Amino acid sequence: MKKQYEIMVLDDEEIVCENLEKYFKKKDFIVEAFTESQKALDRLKEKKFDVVITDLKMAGPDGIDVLVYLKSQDTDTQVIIITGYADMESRLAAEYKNAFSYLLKPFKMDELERLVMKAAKKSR
Amino acid sequence: MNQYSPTTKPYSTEDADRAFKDRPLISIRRRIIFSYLSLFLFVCLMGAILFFFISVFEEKQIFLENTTNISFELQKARRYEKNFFLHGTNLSDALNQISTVYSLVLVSKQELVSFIGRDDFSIMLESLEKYDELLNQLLRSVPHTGGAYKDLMTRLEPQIRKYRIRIQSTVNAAIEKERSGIHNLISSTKIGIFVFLGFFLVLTTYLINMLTQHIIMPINRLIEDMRRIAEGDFSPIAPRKKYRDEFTILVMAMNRMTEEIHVRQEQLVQTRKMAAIGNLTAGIAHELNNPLNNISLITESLLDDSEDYGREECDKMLNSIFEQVERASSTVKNLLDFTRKDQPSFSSLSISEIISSTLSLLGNEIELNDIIVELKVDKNLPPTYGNHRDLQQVFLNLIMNAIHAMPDGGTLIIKAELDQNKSLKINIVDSGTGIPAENLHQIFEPFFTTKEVGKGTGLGLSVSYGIVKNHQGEIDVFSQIGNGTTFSVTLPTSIEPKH
Repeated sequence: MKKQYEIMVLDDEEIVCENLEKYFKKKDFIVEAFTESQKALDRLKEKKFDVVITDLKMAGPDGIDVLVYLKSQDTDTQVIIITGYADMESRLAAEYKNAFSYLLKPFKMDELERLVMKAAKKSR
Repeated sequence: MNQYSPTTKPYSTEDADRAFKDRPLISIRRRIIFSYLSLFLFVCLMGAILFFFISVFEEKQIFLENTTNISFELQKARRYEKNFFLHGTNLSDALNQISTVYSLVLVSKQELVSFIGRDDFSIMLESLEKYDELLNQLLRSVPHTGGAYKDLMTRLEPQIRKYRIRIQSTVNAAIEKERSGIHNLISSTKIGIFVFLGFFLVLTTYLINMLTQHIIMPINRLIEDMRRIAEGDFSPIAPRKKYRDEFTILVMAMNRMTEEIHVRQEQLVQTRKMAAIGNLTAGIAHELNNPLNNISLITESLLDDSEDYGREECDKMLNSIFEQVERASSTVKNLLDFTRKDQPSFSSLSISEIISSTLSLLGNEIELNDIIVELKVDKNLPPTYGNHRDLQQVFLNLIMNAIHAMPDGGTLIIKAELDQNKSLKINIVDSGTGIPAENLHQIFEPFFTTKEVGKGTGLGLSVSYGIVKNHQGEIDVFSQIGNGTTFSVTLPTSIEPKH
């Protein structure tokens, strides 16, 4: 039996979490969604995910903090950053810290799905 | 001074430079050398005049000594002459004295001639010779004659006396004249010294005045210009004198410096502006992209799986879309408020009423966050002139910020009073976390926020800033990490603003 990819969705916009969770579950992923970054970080300490989709600007730890945490661990979890904040600085920071990809809001679901598939394959 | 009319005032540094260089060079160094030389020459002149006076005095002194000598020797001769006529003795001594007098007269001949005149001198000399001759005549007849000798004596005595007196009076007159000459010389020298001092005073006053005008005045003007430049007027310093000197070089260098500062300042302002625009753009993008993304996700979901959803679910999703549209449009509205130019209606307002109505709007928020409010608002403060809704928005923003700065509760002090300029001063003081110094200078910039997504657009303070400025007021912030933050709003009291 084909192994299901496990992904985490982290965005303080509830609509994003809801829709991504629904979409990827339908595509046969195992999905956990969080609107609070601290809770997500705590969860990441307990469980290994293949791909983490995270927003950039959030209260508390932000997307870059999540990225930095994961890269500091001995894991190949891939990080996709989604953000509406279109400044060069955060994009460069994300690339510099080895995010798998940086996707600007608004995005198309199939576009995100393609990236998640690529990232998931890389993580295996 | 040579003031130039504003129409000829050069406006670029190059024009000013050219105008400066066109002027003839009269350096301050030259002026100082000139001043020193003129003082030196003046003192030399006075020295020469004094030297001349002293030499004349000396000459007169010598002449006076000589004539006094002559008079003295003549006195002696007279004594011998008297002895001879009384006792028949000392005739040869008298003759010796006469020859001494004669030689003394010849030594001072030139001075005597110039002093008593050639005629008087010849008369004196002639008298002297006669005197000598008569005495000699007596001397020759002494051994041989008896009664005849007595006769001769009686005959010659008045003549001898006459010549001697003539000589004596001439010499005495000369002495008297010379004495009064010396006296006059001394008094005119005294007067001369005072005249000299007078001229010296005039000259030094002129020189000091000139140097002051060319050193102190330019320095004062430079101070004025520096003040003007410090106030932000970067137009170059124009020439004010008809010539060039060391100050011109200084002013030209300063013009160049001012130009540099101006260019740098413009660059800095431009950089700040670009940073603000960058912030603004990224902020707008964030605030619009999030709702747009939500709309996109819901729409996609609706399109892909429309058959899976019932009527109710569809309605819920459509409502969600509508909410997101509202969210985006409120961002746009806030942005428009921030840049709004049209004038809201103004009226006379009580600041304590505005503050209490704002606090009542926030009552719930204050209670939930464990905030203790200390209200120190004087009820008798004069009214201000403004727009009620706008000012309420300002205090709403400031109090909201204060509440957010105290997530674990704290004390909020709202204090309104008249300041020393008779303006209303409202301080909103929180006991919160404080604002880092590096953020202080940009907190009034649009879309600058430290709050998490959805909680702050970064427009609150910039909108408040715009409103307060529009009310001819000021808004300031003082903050220290750990010691809380004070926002201070100053509003004019009931003065109709200029529009």
